[in-house]
Amino acid sequence: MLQTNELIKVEDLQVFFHTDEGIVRAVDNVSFSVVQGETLGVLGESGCGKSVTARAVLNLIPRPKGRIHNGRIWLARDGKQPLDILSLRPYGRQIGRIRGREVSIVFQEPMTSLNPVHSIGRQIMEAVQLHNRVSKREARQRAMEMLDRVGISAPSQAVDKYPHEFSGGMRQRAMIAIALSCNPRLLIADEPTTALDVTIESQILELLSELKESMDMSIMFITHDLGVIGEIADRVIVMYAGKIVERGLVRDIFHDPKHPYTVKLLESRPRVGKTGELSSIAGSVPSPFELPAGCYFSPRCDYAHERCRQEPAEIEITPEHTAKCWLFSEGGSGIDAEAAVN
Amino acid sequence: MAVYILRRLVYLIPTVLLISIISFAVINAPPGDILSSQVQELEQQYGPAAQRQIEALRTRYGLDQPVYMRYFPWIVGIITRLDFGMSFSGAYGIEFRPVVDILAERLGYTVLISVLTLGFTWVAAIPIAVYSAAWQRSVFDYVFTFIAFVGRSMPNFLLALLLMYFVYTNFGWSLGGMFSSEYVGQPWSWGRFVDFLRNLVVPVIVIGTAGMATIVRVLRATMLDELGKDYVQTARAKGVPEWKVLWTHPVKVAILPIVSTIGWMLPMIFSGSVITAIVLNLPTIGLTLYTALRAQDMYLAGSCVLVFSVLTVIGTLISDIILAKIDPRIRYD
Ligand SMILES: Nc1ncnc2c1ncn2[C@@H]1O[C@H](COP(=O)(O)OP(=O)(O)OP(=O)(O)O)[C@@H](O)[C@H]1O
Ligand code: SF4
Ligand SMILES: [Mg+2]
Repeated sequence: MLQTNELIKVEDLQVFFHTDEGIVRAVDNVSFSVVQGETLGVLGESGCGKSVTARAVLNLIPRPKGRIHNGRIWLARDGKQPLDILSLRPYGRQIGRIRGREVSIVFQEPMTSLNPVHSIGRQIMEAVQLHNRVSKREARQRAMEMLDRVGISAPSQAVDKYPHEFSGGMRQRAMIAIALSCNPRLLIADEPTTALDVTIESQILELLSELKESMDMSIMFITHDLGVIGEIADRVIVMYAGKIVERGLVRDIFHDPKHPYTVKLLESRPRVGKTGELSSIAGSVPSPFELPAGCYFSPRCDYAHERCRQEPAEIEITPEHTAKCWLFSEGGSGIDAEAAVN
Repeated sequence: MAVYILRRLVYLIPTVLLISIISFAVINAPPGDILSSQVQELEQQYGPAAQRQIEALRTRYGLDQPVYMRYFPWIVGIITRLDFGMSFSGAYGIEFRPVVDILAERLGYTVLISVLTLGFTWVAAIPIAVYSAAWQRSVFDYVFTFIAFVGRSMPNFLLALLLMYFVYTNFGWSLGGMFSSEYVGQPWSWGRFVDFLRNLVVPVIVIGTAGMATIVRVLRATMLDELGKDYVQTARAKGVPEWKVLWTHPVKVAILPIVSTIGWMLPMIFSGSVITAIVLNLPTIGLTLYTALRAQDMYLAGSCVLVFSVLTVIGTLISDIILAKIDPRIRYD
């Protein structure tokens, strides 16, 4: 179950979508944990299952198309036994007390994530009143406080505004205000800055780091941007086609990457400027309906070998650092030696 | 907001005038209106003896004049004296009757039945559509989609007859008309009021069913659309209970296109109710228009169309005001 300082632990998570074309194994046997007070970065190209993982943590997978086939998500609770979120009824009262209160989420798209016909204040107050015994006036007060806290000027006016009166950056700040209004222990931020321009992006990242310190919470930060990971994360998991291929401390990932996919990501990073879009690797992510046998990265991998037709195991390089690749199993030559052979 | 409503009311005037011109012209286009045929009858029966009376009618109603010369006195009479002209068809009395009396008799009942029908349609359609969308492809969804389909395609008169039969065999009420026979022409009393309500049930259900099916279909589709949107997930992610997510988030957005249909739902209810009105013997303006058109009773028909268009324009105005109230994205200018 949970180690002492773990806040949340995802075990063997499998989420499939049953579409007309076939089954999409969006998240396939993913395990990871978030430690108290850390920022865990989740890195991967578009479609690798980052958002699905994020939503599964709160059991928010759209039914009936999507289904969580397997997995446990343990949530630490003060002085009580940890609770498996996936064992709760997805529309029940118990999970309602976790969502928005223990674990909050900020979605990718600020333009569509807010209700267009409710005022910003009402949308913050909804969460506040749901999880706290407060009067309407107190909730409104809290909403203004939160707006102020996320850096929205003139909160007493902003509270009565509607989403269409806000810019993208302000909407994302409002989303963060909603998510943090009940002091959650974990904030899941699903590419919160992807839709925003670079200056706004760095403002929001700064805001998140600052709020994380002052509110004493953990963050699971999802992105496809290496630069962002470098800026905000303590530890990183790298996902590829629904699986975790490498995990480690942020400096391991940046300075001593092991998995050939991670290596490629770092190599393809533009040297000038600090953002790196993960699109410049040769080849493309395999279609979920035509996944290669064995290692899913093999069609794009320079080190691909006979044995890569079997699925590699996740190999521990140091206790903090693992890679899911044959190169590091017993008898494997490691990435540098292999490169010399080629 | 007040300025907006005022401006809309001002726009209402030319719109209604235009409709009145067109409808009056169309009604008068075919030859052989009822007054002309009555004049002819007079001539044949009494010959020169009735000459003076015939002449008086001709000049009074401008029978030899072009259509626009008949239109102007009529519309001026309405605006200045609320005089809608005369009805000439004997169906409403032996002699000529002022149109305004006929309208006054029927307008209240027509508006009442229309508003009740609209209310019934909404109250029944919204929960069905919302739950059908929320539990898409459930038994509930299939059953009500089927019922909506039947409701849409079944002719009103058939539904009216079936319901009358059902009500008669199960409750022993014999419905038809505004009141049961014992209350016709009686002063208002509690018993008469109950009887009046009882007689409203069947027409409201019959007229409402077709519109209900339309609303269920449209609202179910927009709800499905909205349910897939991110803001619904945001609400769930806050921990809002599912029923509350449904009713406070997507419904409020999905309802908007339906609200904008109030304007044209009202005339649909008036006109859709004609056959029902015939079957159930209801004194609605829709039925009056129908008989007036058949008789080419020009002032009566023209006045009915005028009333319809005013009600439609008012309905549209009401729906626009409601829309502006609930959708913050709409601006009043
Ligand atoms: N509602 C859905 N129906 C069907 N398939 C889905 C659905 N949601 C996600 N998927 C599939 O699951 C896989 C993972 O999607 P996910 O949204 O998690 O990707 P992502 O890593 O968040 O990508 P991005 O960076 O573009 O947001 C994709 O193949 C996607 O097509
Ligand atoms: S397992 Fe084989 S194909 Fe996959 S990344 Fe390692 S070397 Fe490349
Ligand atoms: Mg995503």
